[in-house]
Amino acid sequence: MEKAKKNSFMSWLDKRLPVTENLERHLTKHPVPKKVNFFYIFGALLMVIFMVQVITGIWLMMFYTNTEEGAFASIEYIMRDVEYGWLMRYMHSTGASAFFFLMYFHMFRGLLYGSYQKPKELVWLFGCFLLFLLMAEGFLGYVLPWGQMSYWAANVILSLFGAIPFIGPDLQVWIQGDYVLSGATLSRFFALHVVVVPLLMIALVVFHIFALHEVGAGNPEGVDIEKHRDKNGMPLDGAPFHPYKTLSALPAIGIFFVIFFAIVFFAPEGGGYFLEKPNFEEADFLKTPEHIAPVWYYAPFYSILRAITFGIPFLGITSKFLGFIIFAGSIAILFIVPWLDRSNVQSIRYKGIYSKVAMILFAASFLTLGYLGTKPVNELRTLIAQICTLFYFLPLILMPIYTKYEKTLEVPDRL
Amino acid sequence: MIKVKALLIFLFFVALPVWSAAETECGTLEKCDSFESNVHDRNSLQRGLGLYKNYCSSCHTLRYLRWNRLERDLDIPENILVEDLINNPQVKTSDFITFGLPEVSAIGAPDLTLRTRVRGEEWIYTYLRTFYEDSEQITGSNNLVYPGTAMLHVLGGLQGRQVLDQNGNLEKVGDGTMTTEEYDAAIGDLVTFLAYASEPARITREKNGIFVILFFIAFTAVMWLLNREYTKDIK
Amino acid sequence: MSKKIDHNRRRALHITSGIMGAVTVGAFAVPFLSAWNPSEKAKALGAAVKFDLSKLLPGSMAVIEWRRTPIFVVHQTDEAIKNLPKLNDRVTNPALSEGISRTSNQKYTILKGVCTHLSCAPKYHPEIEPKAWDQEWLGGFFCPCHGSKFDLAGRVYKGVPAPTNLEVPPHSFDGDNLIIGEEV
Repeated sequence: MEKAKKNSFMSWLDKRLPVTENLERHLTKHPVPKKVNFFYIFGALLMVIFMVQVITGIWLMMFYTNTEEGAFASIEYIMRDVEYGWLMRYMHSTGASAFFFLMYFHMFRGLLYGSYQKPKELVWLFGCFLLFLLMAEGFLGYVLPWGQMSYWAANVILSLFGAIPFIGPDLQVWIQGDYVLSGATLSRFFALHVVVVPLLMIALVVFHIFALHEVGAGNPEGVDIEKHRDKNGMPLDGAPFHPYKTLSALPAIGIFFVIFFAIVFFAPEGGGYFLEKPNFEEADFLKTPEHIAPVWYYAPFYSILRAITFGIPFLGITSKFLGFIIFAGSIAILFIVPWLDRSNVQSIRYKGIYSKVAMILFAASFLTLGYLGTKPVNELRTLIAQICTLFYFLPLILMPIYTKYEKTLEVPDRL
Repeated sequence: MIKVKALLIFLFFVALPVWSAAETECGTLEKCDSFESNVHDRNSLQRGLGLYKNYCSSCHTLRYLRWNRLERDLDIPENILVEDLINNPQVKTSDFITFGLPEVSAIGAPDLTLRTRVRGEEWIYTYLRTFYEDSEQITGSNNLVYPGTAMLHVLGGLQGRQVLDQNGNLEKVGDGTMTTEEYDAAIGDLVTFLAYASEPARITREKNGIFVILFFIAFTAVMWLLNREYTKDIK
Repeated sequence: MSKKIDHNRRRALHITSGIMGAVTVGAFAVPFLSAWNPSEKAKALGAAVKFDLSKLLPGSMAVIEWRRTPIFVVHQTDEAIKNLPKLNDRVTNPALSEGISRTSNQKYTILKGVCTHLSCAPKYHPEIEPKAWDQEWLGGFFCPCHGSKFDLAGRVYKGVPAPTNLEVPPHSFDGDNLIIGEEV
C-alpha cells in the first residue's frame, strides 16, 4: 500500500518534472567503469571541497567587512570574537590550498589517461575554464584579508595588466577603480569573489558533469566500455554510478577529511605556505615586504612570469609584457591539449616512450617551477626557471609530432 | 602500472624539497634559536602576561585581545584582572588591552597581538635575547637579529650586560637579576604569552582537533566496510 | 553476482553508516549554528551598565542606554509612593505584588522606555496636575503616539491601547550603584 502510494506520487511528479528519468540517467543507470585507480577519486573530492568552500565562505561573509579600514580587523574579529569563527576561516584558507591540490591531481590524471581525447574535448575545456576561474577566485579571495601580502601580491599581479601596450595603464586604473590599489578595489574584488566567480564556477561544474555523462567516464586503460554490453544494455565492464561509485567515494572522502582537518587543527598556517607570515600585518602602502612570494598554488605560474627576463625589443615588447604573455600562455596552452594529442590510444600505459618522457618532464618542470616560485630570485634560480619553463611548454607544443609518430601498444578489448 | 608508480615516486622526491625548504635566515644570524611555545601551560602563560604587563605594556598594545579573554583562558580571577592588571575604572573587562595608548604610539612601537605570527616565535625569542651594548646607537644598545632596532633593551636589568667580542659573538659582562637560564625561561614565557595572544583559539584548536580526526578515521573505516560489501555485487 | 548477499551484514552496515552520516552532518552544523550566537563584540556592547544612583534626586528620572533601549530610572518621591494605591482601580493590573517599583529597592523604579503598544517612547510626567489626557493625573508616563497612560510604577491604565505594563529590565543594586542587565 505504502509503495503504491509512493509510486503514484512519483508518476504524478514525473509527468510534470522528469525526476525519475534524470535520477536514472545520472545516478542509478549511468554506467561507469568498474575498475579505476585512485587518480579517479579527485573529481568527487573536488565536489566536496567546493561545497566546503561555498558554505564556509557564506559564513565568513556574514562577519567580514569589505572596507579598507575594516577588512583586516574584521578577520581578527572572526578569529577571536565569533564563535567557531577561527574554524570557518581555517577551513576556508586550508580549503583553498586543498582545492588547488586536488585540481592539479585531477588535471594530471586527465593528461596521463587522455581524459581530453575525442569525444571528451568539451569536458576538458570546461575543466580548464574551471582552473582559470579557480585561479581568479583564489587571487580575489587572497586580497580580502588586506594584509601586507594581500596588498603587495595584488599590486604585482595588477601591474601586469599595466604592461599591456597602449591600453595597459588605463586598464589597470579601471580594474582598480583608483589610481592605486585601494578600498575601491577591495570592494569590487569582494563582490567578484563571493558572487560572480562562484556563480560562473557552479554553472561550469554543471556543464562539466553533463558533458561527462554524455560521453561517459574514462578509465586508466583507455578501454571503451560501451563496446560490450549485457542483455540489459549495461556495459559488461561498467557498473551503475549509484550505489557503486558513490559508495566508493565515501572512504576516500573520509581519508581526505582526516588529512584536511589535521591541517586545519594542527597546522593551519601550512608552514607559512597556506597562510603567509606577512599577511598577519595590515596592508601598509609605504612598506613593501622583503620578499613577495605567491601562495604555493600560483608558484609555478609566477615562476614562469619571473623567468622571462628578456623582451623582444624590435617588436617593442618589453620583458614584463613578454612575461605576461608567456604566463598567460602557460594556462592557455592547456585548453588546446585535446587538439595537440594525435595518438591513437588514450592512456599513457599504451603510449610510446616519448609520451612517457614528455609527461615526466612536464610534471617535473611544473613542480620545480613551483618550488622556485616560493623562493627569492638569484641568477641560478632564474636560469633553472627558464629551463623549466622551456620543458613545461615543449612536451605540449611537440605533442602533435611525437604522439603521431611514436609506436603505441595494443589496447585490450576489456577492462 | 609499475611505470606509473615509478613516476609517482619520482615526482614525490622532486616535490619533497618544496615542503622541507623553509627560510631559516634570522637577521645577522644564520639561524634563530629553536623554541616552541606550549600554549597549554597555564603557569607559563601567566608568567608571560606578568612580564608583558611590567615591561612591554607601556609602549606596546594588544589591540585585538580583550581583557576578559584572559579571565577565561588564563584562569585570572576577576578581582586580580580588575585591580592589578587593568587598574583603571574607565576600562571595562570587555575592552581591548590598549592601556589608552594611541593606535601607533609616538615612538612607533608596533602592536604585539599578531607579532609572533608575523615574525615567528623563534625570531622573537632570539631577538629578545641578543641585545648588546653599542654606544653608536641612540638607545645605547643594538641587536643581532634586528640591527639598528629602535627598541630599548627594557629587559636589560633582568638579563645583565652583553657586548660583542671580536668574533661577533655575544659575551656576558655583567650580571642581571636573573641567571642566563632563568632569563631564557622568562623570555620563553613571554613568547608563549604572545603566541597565545596572536591566536587565543589555538588552545581549543589543539585540544579538540584530535577528536575530529579520530572521528573521521572511524568514518573512513565504516564507509570502507560498506563499500567493500557493495563491491562484491559487481566483482 | 554469483555470491550470495549477506542481508544481515548489509543492514547492519546501512544502519552504522547512516548513524555515522547523521553524526557527521550534525557535527558540521554545530559550529555553523553557534557562529550565529552573539559574538564577543556584541556581548561587550550588550554587557551590564552601571549607574550611580546617589546623584539622582527624588522626583527626577534618568534615561540610560542599555542594548540600544532607553532605560528609565525614576527616584520616587514619598508622595508618589503614597499616591500609587489610589490608582489601583484605574490600572489593568492593580496587584502591587511586584512591589511599587517592582524592584527590591522600593525607592526606585526601573523600566524599559518602550511603550508596550507600538514601541514609541513614553514621556515622563511626574507632576500632579490636570492634563489634557487626564483631569486627575497623579503623575506617570504618557505615550504621545497613541495616548497610552502608565502610572509612575509603569502600570498601564484601563482603556488605553497599550495592553500590558511597561517592562522591567533585568537589574540589581550594588550599594549606591544600579546595574542594568544583570540579575543577582
